[in-house]
Amino acid sequence: MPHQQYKDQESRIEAVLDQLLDAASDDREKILEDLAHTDETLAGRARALLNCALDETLGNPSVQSIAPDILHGLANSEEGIRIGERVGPYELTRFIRRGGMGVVYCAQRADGAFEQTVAVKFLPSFLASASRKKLFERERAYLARLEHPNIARIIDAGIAEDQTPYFVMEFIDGEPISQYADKLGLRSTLELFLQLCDAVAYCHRSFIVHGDLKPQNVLVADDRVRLLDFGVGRLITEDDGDDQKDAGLVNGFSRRYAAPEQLHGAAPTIQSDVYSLGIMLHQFISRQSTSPEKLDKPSTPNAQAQDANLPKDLVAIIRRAMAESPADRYESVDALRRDILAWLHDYPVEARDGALAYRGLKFIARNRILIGAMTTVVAALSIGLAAAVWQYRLARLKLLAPEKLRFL
Amino acid sequence: MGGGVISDSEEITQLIQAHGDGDPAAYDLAVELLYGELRALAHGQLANRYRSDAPFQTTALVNEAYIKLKTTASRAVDRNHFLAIAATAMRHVIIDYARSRRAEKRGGDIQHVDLDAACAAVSAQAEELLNINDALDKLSRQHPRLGKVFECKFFAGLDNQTAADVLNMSTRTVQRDWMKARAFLQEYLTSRE
Repeated sequence: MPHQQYKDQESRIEAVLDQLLDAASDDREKILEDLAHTDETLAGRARALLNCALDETLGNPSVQSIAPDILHGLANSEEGIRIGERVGPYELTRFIRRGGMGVVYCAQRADGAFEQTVAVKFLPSFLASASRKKLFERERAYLARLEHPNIARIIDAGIAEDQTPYFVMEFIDGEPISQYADKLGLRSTLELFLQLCDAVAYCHRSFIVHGDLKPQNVLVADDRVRLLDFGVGRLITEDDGDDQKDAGLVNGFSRRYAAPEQLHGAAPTIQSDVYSLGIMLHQFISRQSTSPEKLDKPSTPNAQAQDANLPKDLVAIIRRAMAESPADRYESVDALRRDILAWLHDYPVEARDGALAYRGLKFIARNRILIGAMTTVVAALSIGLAAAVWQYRLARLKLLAPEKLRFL
Repeated sequence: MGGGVISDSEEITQLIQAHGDGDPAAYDLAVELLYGELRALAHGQLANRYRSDAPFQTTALVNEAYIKLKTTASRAVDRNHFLAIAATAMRHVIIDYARSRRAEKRGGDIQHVDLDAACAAVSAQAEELLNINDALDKLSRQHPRLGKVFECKFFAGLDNQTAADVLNMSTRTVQRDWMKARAFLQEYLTSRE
């Protein structure tokens, strides 16, 4: 190639860099020191460049695969391009959506064995590089273990002909939960939300964190909540270590429902799932629309005005789930569930301070009818008998104290 | 996806030839035509049941384009000339697509952009790629040869030997230039932060 005129400075620094790279590593320091005597700035820059030259960042596989990965994205950018394709015994019939991690197609069983409709989700094509297939295989094993009435079942998984990983899942013909909940009253909405908590708690017990909980991932079919999409679902096993970097998916989540620490780059945890559930709960019971408008966090003045109409205990539950610091939130989804159940049954919620008067109020609310009847009965009895009966009733009421009760 | 006929194959071949003969204008035109072809091939990957064990799909795309050109053109196509142009064309394809995938940042507050996971991840990659591309532009102005080596290896996925053939240098020079290119790019990228 014909040489062109370089700027003096630039050709000089390139020559110095050559000199450094040619030299043995032990000699490099001397060369830089000598240079510093004559031109300190140049030496400084040369040193930095040497470090960059030896730094593998721009040469490492994940960066090197960016260009073809993006290209693969181009190849996939036409929706519906896979219709007619066969994956395993299924044939893709219809494009459903692009969402979560990848695109989802509807597929029918095509080997004549029996009728079956499934959903096939292809992970984003940039995940198809060889280095990530290992991760996929591992995650597939874990996800195949999941069996819960509120989770869309994973039927199969594999790698397509063009090296794209895919999951075959139950096809759920349902409505997005926000839409469904709009038609329900408060208590029914909460009961629906409890199903969602069941699903997430189950995931956590299976050492899987969802990491991308949002209404779009939750459908309702036949009055039953079905959780889809394990998005950035990470495994929270004992031996995290390097696996965290391997997962490399921590940037892919919906910011609106993400916990603050996630927005700062932390990996998803049980507590961040709790946070996302908190936002969703707030959204459902405030009757906010499902469009991604600004949703005021409960701590902001605007939201506080809106929340004035909501039961205080529920607001307290939401605030606790959405505490800025993970340590201040519910320690598990089960704990969140218990508090919601407590509210539904008029028991005091953990999220509120356990003041005696508060507990008393809750006690009265819970036992309205009983106390009314008791007062009437006591008044009707003679003194001696009344005392004995009173003791009896008092003992019985003590048995109903909240701390003795178990929820399941 | 249609048969093996490449559109404009005659024109591309002529332009490649002209470029080889020293015509500077031919280069850009050839890149433009090849750009369209590579994009179409990229889309066609799935329909063609594309199968590859190659670490970089870009190389295979480029090779596919070359084979098609060779079989349909009436005159010989010099592979090295072709690859030089293809590397640039491939870079354009990738960068243009990366631009379209980059997230829209509304105002200053990114918190309220609701991206689904795939979009977010792709746009993060796209952003990174565009930064690299900007740095590459700067590099090419100061050190054109280093820029060309980087383009061939990074965007077209050429191995050292092929890049050496295309750029008419030794493999040792390619390796050294690759290292230096990365060093300068890294310098540009870190000074941006």
